[in-house]
Amino acid sequence: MPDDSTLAPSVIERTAPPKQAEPGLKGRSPLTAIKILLPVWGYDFVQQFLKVSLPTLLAPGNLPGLARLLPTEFIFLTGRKDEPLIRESVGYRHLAAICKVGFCDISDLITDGNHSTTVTLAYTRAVRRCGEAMLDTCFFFLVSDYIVADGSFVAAMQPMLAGTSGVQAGNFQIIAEEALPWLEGELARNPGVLSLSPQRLMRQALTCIHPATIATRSTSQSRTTAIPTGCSGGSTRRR
Amino acid sequence: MIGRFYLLHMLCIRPELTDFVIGASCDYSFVPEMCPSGNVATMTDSDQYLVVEAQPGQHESRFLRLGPADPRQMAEILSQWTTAHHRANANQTLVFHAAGEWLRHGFPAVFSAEDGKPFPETREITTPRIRQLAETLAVEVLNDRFLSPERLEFMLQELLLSIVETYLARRRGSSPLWRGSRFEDTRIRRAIALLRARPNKELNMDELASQVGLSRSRFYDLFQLCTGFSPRAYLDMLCVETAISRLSSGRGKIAEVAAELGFSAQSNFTRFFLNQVGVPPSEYRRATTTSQQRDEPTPKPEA
Repeated sequence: MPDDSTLAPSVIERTAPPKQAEPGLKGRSPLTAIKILLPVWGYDFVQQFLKVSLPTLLAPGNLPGLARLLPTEFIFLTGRKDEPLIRESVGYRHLAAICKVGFCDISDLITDGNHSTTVTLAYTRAVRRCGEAMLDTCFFFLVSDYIVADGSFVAAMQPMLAGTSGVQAGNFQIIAEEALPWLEGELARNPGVLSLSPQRLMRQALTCIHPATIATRSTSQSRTTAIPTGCSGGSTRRR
Repeated sequence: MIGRFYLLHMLCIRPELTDFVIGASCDYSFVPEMCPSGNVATMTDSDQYLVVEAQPGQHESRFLRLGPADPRQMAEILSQWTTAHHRANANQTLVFHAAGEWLRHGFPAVFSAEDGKPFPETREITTPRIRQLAETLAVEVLNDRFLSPERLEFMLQELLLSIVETYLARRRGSSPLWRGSRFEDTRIRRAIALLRARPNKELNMDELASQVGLSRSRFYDLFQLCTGFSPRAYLDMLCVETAISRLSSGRGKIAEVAAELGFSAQSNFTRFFLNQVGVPPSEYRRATTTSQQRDEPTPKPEA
């Protein structure tokens, strides 16, 4: 039987005395900050993030766009030994030129398995560290293998600025081995920053859909909808 | 539009409260836990928002069965994906509700009728001791054919005592926390703490009485008055509680449990356990762990 303490992070890291937003949430004060939380550890994952994912985050309509809206901090939730690797990278310098960059040590949370628990606890730690300021902060929860279309983050901020407490979105998996050559080709032409329109990313992603995505869509009756088998033009909105 | 029909992920959140509790090991629970109002928007247009995850082709491959859906096969896959532990938790919720009258009777200075909120916090950190007590109590309640009313009363009293000691005693400082309760005598409370620290059948009660500054006869009288049990019976209960905790968790052999509790031979422990619980330790272990052994936990794929 697994150790319960690793599976039930319900009572960890209480910091500040509890505070609740105003009743009904109608009168919430304006957002004052954005914090982007990225848990990543281990050489291979750090490298993949720096090489492929980070350039898409640096597209104008993503992190730079957020930084124009509100004071923005990008926080690496990572192990002690991975921090130097990140700091020495070119991507880090690009990132630091756009927004404040911080590190939160999660060495104590990293285990050989159960990564989703580590990620959950890491996010929780970063949010709780803000204390009461968390109530006026918008937290973005990223993972290291996201490929983000340009403009996505700014689009997601619109409902947040209008007063919602959260934004959720659909995503799907693609096969990294098949997508990487294409992404690397794009990066060779645009080093450091990779701006992919949603339509362009979708068009490419549909050529390398992950078996897990196909399986989910094939077997779930509640999610029956046709997968476009080919994309002509820019629109991928087919139902 | 694929994203809308696939798994929704939580992208960003502005928490609505600071004392949120993360009750799951996966961040899918963040939205209900941090945004209880449900005031959450969904990005539905992939022309405005698109994120894909670049994952190795083999990721989650052992959980995939491509082809026409077969309900039986799907059920098997799902049963592998969730662990026995998850299922056990999902199937059984044990709520411990302490009646106000019972609490007031036990600790009148703490749980007075006027004080509507004796606990300053709505949630508290679970200490290892309270976790062990709660889990042992849960095992006992779920296997109630082995549970005697006397042992149930003992375990409830232990749990309540631990809760009061952990969450109230240190906060109330010098206030008359224990006044009027059966545990008012500090010497007996110290004796209980010593017994709990290492339940062992070889423990010498005369030495324990001396340690807390009481004569043997006075110690026995006060202990009985305070706890409702003789020191020896109380120790027996603690030994049973420890044994149940070990046996139900599958940690250690029966001989090791016996040795830990100070029995010179496993047969003595077996006799003691049979007398206290009504079944031999081997049978108790079988009864509480059969389902767990049948469903060995399988690693859960990454979310």
